[in-house]
Amino acid sequence: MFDLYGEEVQFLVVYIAEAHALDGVSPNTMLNAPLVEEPISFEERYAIAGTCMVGLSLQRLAAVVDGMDNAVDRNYQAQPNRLYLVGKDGNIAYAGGRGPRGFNPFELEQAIRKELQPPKPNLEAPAPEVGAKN
Amino acid sequence: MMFGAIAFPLALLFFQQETPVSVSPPTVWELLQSKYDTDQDSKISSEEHGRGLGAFSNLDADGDGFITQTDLEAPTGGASRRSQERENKMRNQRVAPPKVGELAPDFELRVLVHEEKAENSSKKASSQPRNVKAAKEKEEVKAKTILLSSFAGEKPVALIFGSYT
Repeated sequence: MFDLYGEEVQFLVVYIAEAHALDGVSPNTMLNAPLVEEPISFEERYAIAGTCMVGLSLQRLAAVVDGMDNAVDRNYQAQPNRLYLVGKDGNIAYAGGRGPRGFNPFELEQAIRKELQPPKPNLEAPAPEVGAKN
Repeated sequence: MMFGAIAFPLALLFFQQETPVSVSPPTVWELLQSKYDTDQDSKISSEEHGRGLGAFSNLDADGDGFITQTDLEAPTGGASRRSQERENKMRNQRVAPPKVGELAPDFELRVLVHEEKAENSSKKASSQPRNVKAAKEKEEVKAKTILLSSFAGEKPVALIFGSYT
């Protein structure tokens, strides 16, 4: 998707609080799950974000890191993961559901394609002149 | 759910990927023991751990004041209780997410700069001693922020929220 739309759309990863830190309230018990402790400082979260982006080969995507107050996470209700598209007008053009079930990249792509479509011309027929005769 | 578990297929959607080579990871106990068991007595005290009582109590399943391998192999009864507490806490903090058509909540967050990019930026020619200028430019690159509203009128922004776990 980035290769297709990366010139016209700004893709931005927003790294938020760990969903399943190993010392958190719901650690991930899946085999080969990343073993990550809940960061206790912004520098720790920043470092883990870097490891994540490199580990998942996502370095080409721009990324920002949420503050330890988790304000952006809260404003977007992003936990554990979520997709949004913000239109050129600054309004929400697509609001995905909460992950994992609501995390749907195909919906995001559809929204991108719709957002990038040129505006349709006004095809309404001109109003008839007053007093016109057939 | 893991951003990692979702981001692998997401990464495939964004980029062509090579098949990753699997390496056997350490267990949770092996990781924690190597980091915190400084006196190597096969148990981790809260003093050795030093990451706050919340995180310590999440790991000390039997509540005996030490994190041991047994704690980490304990049944998930405690985890279920903590998950419910977390869910309750999240529910209390929940605000309505922004909807289609609404103005996107603005934010200004620090950009994640990979070490090699920071190094490359700091290698530009300068008249100052190279090590001083390089260190300064590296810090400037790392302190850069992105303001979401700066893209308005320019291009749409696809926001991908997630974490490694």
